[in-house]
Amino acid sequence: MRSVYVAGIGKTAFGAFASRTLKDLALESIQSCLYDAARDKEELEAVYVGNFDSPSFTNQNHLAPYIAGAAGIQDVPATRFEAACASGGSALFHAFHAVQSGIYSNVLVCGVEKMTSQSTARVAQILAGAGDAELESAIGATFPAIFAMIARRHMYQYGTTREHLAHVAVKNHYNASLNPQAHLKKVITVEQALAGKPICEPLTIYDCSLVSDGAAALWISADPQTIRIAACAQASGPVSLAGKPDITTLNATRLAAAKAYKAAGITAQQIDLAEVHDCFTIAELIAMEDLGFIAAGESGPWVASGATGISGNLPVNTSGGLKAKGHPIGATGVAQVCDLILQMRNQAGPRQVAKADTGLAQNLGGSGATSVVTILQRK
Amino acid sequence: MRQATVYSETVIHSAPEQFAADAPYQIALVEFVDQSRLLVRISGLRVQIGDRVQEIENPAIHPTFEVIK
Repeated sequence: MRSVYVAGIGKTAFGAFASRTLKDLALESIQSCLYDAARDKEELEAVYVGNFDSPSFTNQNHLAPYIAGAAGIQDVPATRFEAACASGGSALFHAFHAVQSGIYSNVLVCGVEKMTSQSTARVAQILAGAGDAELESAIGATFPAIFAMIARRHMYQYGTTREHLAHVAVKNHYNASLNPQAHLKKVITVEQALAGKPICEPLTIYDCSLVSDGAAALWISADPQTIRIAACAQASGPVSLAGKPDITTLNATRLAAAKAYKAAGITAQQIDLAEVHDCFTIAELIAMEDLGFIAAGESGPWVASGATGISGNLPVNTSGGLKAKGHPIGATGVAQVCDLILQMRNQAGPRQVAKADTGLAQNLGGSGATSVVTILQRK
Repeated sequence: MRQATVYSETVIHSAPEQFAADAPYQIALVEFVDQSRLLVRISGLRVQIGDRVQEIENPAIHPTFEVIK
């Protein structure tokens, strides 16, 4: 098996861009990635596109050749990957394996979503399609509702509080305020987070990630570079909440993390910083436990102590996370890796962390039906 | 009718377009005696984890449960 590297990164700002199209966003991320790699697009042998639901959001299907062709990457295979909110991570996972196994030496991964042209209620309806249509969406369950029930149970079993959740939001809002490409740059307090508009009890608007437009791209290569993908693992779990034996843990993340740590030959304690899938504040807390950073049930007080802040022991979501950087679904898993690499190259500006040799990205689909864990190491 | 225990629950304020007129409404993940679980609508009084609930007949949204008084 060959070593796999990242030769270039490119990312648009995330936000609500009424005048920008899906194609336009994807092209900007690809052009930025090609510029960063300083290589010729003629070298690319395949294109992997992560996208959740462009047919519903923008009426555009057959997305991969649509984007690749627009970018002038002609003739090579171009395929779209859909794994709900892990669509970007899943595209990366498949690209990684194609290069690692020797099928290709240079491929492009592009994640993109254009969401803000739809109403909030319509977006909730489209997102609910990532759950179980028969058992969940049919009775009026939404994704915030699914994670609200996970939060309630975590609170019941472990004594996690709304204040603990609020600390995740406060941290990620602060981090995003230092990220010029973030969707929201609004610093908030714990009191503001607690007093937010209720979405699905106990979650308020400040516990929920954003509906955003944006794109991100990576050039994945077998040619040695400074940043190596030490591991990229994907695992699956039940689509419906009722199918999980314990809803306070997402087993797909535990499985993907175990595989990734083994392949990289490291433990959770050797990770310097992480970008995790905080689609809801409770999801970041549970990710801390499932990735092995802290024991089950102990994430709330640990995160509230500041351990995962920019100057903490393990900085988490220094980009602002899905919560405040934004969550253009298909772009998210690709953008997480771009953001880790900015830190690992010492290019993160005011949010730069002290030590960034080994980084971890975790990208979740649905309520844990797909999870992708990627570990990056700097030479 | 089937009886179960509430394993988790939430009150939905921000509803998908199809159920916007129902909001706010409660849903719950309920557990049966064989430990299987089901996501249900809750009718009437709000329920909490640990409450006993029973299925109601001919609901508008299937399945719907209510607290056992």
